[in-house]
Amino acid sequence: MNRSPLRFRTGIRLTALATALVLAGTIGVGSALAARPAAAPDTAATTDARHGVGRCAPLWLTARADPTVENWQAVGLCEIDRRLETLSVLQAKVDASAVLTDAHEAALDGIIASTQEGLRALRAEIEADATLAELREDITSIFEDYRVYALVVRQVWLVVGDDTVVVTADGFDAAADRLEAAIDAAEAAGTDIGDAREHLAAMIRHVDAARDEVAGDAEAVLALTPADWNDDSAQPILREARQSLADARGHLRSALQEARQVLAEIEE
Amino acid sequence: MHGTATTADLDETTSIGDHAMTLTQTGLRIVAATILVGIVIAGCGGRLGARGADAADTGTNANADAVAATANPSAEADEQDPSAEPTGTVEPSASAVPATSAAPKPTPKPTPKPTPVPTPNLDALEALIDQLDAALAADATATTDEGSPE
Repeated sequence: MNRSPLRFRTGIRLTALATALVLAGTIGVGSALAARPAAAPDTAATTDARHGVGRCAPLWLTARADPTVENWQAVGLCEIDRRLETLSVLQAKVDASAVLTDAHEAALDGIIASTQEGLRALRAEIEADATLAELREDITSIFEDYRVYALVVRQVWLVVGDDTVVVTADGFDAAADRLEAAIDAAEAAGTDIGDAREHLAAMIRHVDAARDEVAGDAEAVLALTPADWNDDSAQPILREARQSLADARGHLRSALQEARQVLAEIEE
Repeated sequence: MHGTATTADLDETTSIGDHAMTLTQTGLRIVAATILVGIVIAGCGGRLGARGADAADTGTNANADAVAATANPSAEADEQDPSAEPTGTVEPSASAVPATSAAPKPTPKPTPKPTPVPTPNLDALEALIDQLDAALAADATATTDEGSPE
């Protein structure tokens, strides 16, 4: 008969239910939005530790202590496998690069592909080797005929670096136009632009110097072969290319500071 | 007293019913307020989530195209969020409700906005330079991984 308390309880229940639903929905939506995945870091920036020289070290110790065909085969296969894995990482880096020119990318693709092909064939030979003499020759070939780490890895990183310098310099060229327009606008508006034009000129000088540092380096590095490494003619070229890249980076950092000085001058 | 309802009983019943109705209405207001709060929280969450994702993306796809022009700070705020907090400037369509009792105020002229001067995105250039650091670091450690057959 008395239905008011019933309606009261029903109202309270409906209120609680609706509140719970709204809160659950809010938390769910908020969590979903906040939990969007962040961009994956550039994991290919450095060689994975699993591909390092230490990976096969225990097998080398075992083979030297107990020089059987099986033990030396294990050494050879390990050395080849870590190189093949490194080459896969390099290939992914080249494929994903947004800075490589088409010619440089094609050249690196060719170097990586021919190295992979040769190492796979050598792997089959090592598996078929039946004597220690055959194994000794084939294991030496892993190093001297391919120079994966001493040469191929460095070719990839130095050429990517050189092309990054060029792309960054191009970006500074576009920035220079905009900075000049911003200086003109600030001056027209009566703003004291201070040394903005001097900073812009310094920025341009640093950008030109960076571009000059790496000019022609990529072609010289790409032309190197494992034989050049073995007769010591590759090392000076690689050393100079690395130094040029480091110097170019210094110029670009200076250019960035000058660009920021320009903005600081016209925004004061 | 059993079987028949007295006037006092009916009054009491009516009073309880009114009380329940009042509480139910209160409950509905709570629901409405909760929904409103929920919408606000969800909106804030979306903005914060989007901001976090943008920050995480910095530098992952840097190239020359990333050096796109961005308007100066004030112009950027105008472009990205047209419904941002109003400034002291009164827009022509802002006074939708005229004051009835006060004397009509002169409508201030809209302040002309200065043409935004595009400035370069230096952060994109810095991200490219950072990639040079990574390349040099990888080059430096490569030779040590070569090993020797001896």
